[in-house]
Amino acid sequence: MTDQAAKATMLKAADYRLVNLARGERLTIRNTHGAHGVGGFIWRAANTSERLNVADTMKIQGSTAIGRGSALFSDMGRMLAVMAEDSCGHHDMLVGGSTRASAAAASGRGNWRPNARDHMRSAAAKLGLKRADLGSCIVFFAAVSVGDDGTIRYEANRIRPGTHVCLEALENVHVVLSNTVHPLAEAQGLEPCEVELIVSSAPASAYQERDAFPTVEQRRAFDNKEMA
Amino acid sequence: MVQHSQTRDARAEPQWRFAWRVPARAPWSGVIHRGETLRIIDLFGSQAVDTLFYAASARGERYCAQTTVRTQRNIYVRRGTVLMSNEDRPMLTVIADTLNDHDTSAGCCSKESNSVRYGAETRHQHACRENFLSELSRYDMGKADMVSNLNFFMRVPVLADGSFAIVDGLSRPGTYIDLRAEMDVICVLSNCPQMNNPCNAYNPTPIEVKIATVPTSP
Repeated sequence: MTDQAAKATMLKAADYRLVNLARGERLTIRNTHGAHGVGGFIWRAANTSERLNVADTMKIQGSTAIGRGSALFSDMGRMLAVMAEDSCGHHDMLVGGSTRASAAAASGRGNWRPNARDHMRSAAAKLGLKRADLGSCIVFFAAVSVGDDGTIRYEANRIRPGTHVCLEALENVHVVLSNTVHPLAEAQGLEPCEVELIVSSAPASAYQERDAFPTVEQRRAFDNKEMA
Repeated sequence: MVQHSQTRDARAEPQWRFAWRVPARAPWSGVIHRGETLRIIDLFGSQAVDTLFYAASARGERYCAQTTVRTQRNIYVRRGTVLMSNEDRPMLTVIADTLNDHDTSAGCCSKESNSVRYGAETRHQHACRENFLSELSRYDMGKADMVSNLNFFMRVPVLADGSFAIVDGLSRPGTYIDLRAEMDVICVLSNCPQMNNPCNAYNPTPIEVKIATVPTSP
């Protein structure tokens, strides 16, 4: 697939999307309007019991902050995708996406609203999966800071319109994206807005070779590609 | 009179209906009924205890680290923390804690992640994930049922720049945490065997688990 064949679609506010990416394909999320959060979860297509593990992703890379060049690790010591581009710099793996309870609290009247957990449950069901097949998720475009005493805060002014992230698949994967506001932003009254999704083939310079990865941990994970 | 005696009973040594010394590197599981208290004791100090909880009545409902962090607006588990499920329901409450600031974001060790963090030559070593998988199998549960767990007695500070690393534990011999069950739960834990970082002071040791029929604290 050439760049001209890249498929761009809008993901409306409060909607979700299931995207299948072949190894080497890229998914770009363009945050044109400054959405405060797009929840994400990833399964390996060949064996959906292998899935995003945010704890290993943070622990292996020694940081709660991920950005350009960071990998998203599975529970099996493999990289499912790499963040090939990132002009936002704020993504959350500590707090995760909205749920019925967070949405109800934010609505002020206990009303149901679209939320990341319900979205991801639906997406999982469409793959024949169950709630047990979902673990902790990542929320792109969400600025969460941690104080010395562990207190978390949402830093709304750090999210600007016009940024993007680009994930390059390192395995064949199913990706679910929930265009719902991060729960801490939701609690501040912020509303979702549409984002643009673009699926394209990877440029030749991309992360399909071991040497493309800067850290020894990423290279070891690359070596785990062929393990059962 | 009745109220008086109840007050005295609450302060008395709890009635332990169960006590078990979990050997170093071993798993353990048990059912804790609503209103009962689970005590986990770090007998020798600096011993990480990787722990998960499942609703006894519907095991797809389980401990959710992110929901717990979100609900209390803090990443550490300490006295007062309510451990939340993936259905936004309280599972257990920390009612006593002689340490504070336990981790719930760093997950458990595995052969696979060890091979990435410390090299392929560490893949043969025993790991928490192996303990969880074998113990979960006794309940007909499996890998899908493993999620980000609690790491009692393990310290993982997050610095301003996002740096995230397991550091020396502050847990002394006899340190304990008491959890009151808010629903009937299955507790599955791994007495962590990790030897490649300071979470067990490079010397995995036994722990003790006890279950009291009543809350051990008000």
